[in-house]
Amino acid sequence: MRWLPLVGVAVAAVAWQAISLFYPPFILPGPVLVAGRFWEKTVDGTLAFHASVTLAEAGLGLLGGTLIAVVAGYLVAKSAVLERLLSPFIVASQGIPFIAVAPLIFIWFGNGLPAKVLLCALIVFFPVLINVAAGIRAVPQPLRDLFAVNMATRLQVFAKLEVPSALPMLVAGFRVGGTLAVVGAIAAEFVSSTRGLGFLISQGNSFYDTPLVMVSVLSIMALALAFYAAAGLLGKLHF
Amino acid sequence: MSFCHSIDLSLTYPNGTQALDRVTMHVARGEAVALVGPSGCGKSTLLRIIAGLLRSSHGAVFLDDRQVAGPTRATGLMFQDPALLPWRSVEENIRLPQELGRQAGQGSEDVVPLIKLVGLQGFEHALPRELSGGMAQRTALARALVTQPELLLMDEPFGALDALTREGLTAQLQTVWRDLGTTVIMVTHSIAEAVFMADRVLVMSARPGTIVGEVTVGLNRPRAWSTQGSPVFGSAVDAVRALLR
Ligand SMILES: Nc1ncnc2c1ncn2[C@@H]1O[C@H](COP(=O)(O)OP(=O)(O)OP(=O)(O)O)[C@@H](O)[C@H]1O
Ligand SMILES: [Mg+2]
Repeated sequence: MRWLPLVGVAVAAVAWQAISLFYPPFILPGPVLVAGRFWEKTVDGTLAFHASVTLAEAGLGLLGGTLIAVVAGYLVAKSAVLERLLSPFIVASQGIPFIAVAPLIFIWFGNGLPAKVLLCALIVFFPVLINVAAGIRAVPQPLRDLFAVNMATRLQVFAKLEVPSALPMLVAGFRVGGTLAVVGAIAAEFVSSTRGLGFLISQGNSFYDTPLVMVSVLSIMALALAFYAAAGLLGKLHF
Repeated sequence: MSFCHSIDLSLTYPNGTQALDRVTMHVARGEAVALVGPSGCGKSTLLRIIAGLLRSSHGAVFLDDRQVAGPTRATGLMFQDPALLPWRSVEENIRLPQELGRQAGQGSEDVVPLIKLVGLQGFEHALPRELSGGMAQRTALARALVTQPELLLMDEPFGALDALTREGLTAQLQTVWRDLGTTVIMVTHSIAEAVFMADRVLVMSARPGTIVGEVTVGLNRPRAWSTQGSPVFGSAVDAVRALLR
């Protein structure tokens, strides 16, 4: 049973190869061609360079956005006033496609690494904030009472009760955030850049280098999966 | 001399619900008192005020003649829900109170005797989800006792358990409490359990709750469940029931 997913992938690859025989490579390159291109781009270092750019944008954005969101989520959970103040933005954030904000950010902050990190952080911020606040609010009253009668300090309540209780929600937020951050970084690179996997895609696109586009897409997928796995590790933290 | 007493305790919640109306009660040191009353009459509210978790609107609670102004380590708490931290083992849960407070880490006594007392040997490293309801409640009991509280407040501690486990635990609790000399105030919905556990049963009225009477249980200790057949037990139960009407 454990091999079934691999069998699925193998069948898909064979089917892909078969279908690709009927089309020119710049429309639909087969897996063999794509794999060759992947190897070529890996060996000459192109892929590593562009992937590291995207990784830095998305990774730093995810980290920064999550850190600020955890602090803000804690404060929102604790303060009804702050929650009221922020609620219009939280509601609005559900409706804003942040990618559409990218050009604005480039106008204000240029199109270098900081602007892209900022965009990713912004995308990550709200889902993580909402989850952290909900997680901290969901701490059952008896547990709070228990900490109170044992004269727990604020820090002890935070570290020994609130953080571990909210962890599953935080991980869920981090997962969503991680995927969104990669999407954000790629989209930002589409809009304006000279490097990164998103740039590689638009380059492949303008030169009709379809295998290169596919190589980039696969790399993006690997990156997103790595983020997903990292979130899983976060959930294994022990208290 | 009473160890814990409340004078004219009233409480109205911010939403206007008056939960308690001039509750006055006295509990002697080492005494076990059961609180019974209709659902929603303010029993949990009263316990929370005694624990210092809630401030009364009027009146005051005194522990050893010191007015209760907030939570103190002198009280231990136990609820219907065991309220264990799911990511901690049995032993780590029991040790939790030792890690809290400004003097955390000091005087961390051995919890082995306590684990033995509640019969959880062999389960020290089990996680809460691996425990039965009764075992989880015994863990909560050990945790409540680890700080050696002078006053143990229990809110329907066995309410969520089946009758058999409940009888076993009630009998066990009686021994534990006798060994340690802790003063106990216990809320329960079972009149039989109240009479079996307590030296005195305080009966509350419907909301806003106030004490409408008390029944002193003249049974020797240790009590066994067979005591339930005795005439003294029966008449105490009848007296409580009469007050509840
Ligand atoms: N936080 C709160 N805000 C407003 N009203 C409350 C609050 N907590 C309890 N009440 C009300 O106060 C009254 C007493 O509640 P309490 O929980 O003390 O009753 P109880 O005697 O413990 O009931 P039960 O036997 O069902 O546990 C109830 O009418 C309840 O609705
Ligand atoms: Mg109650």
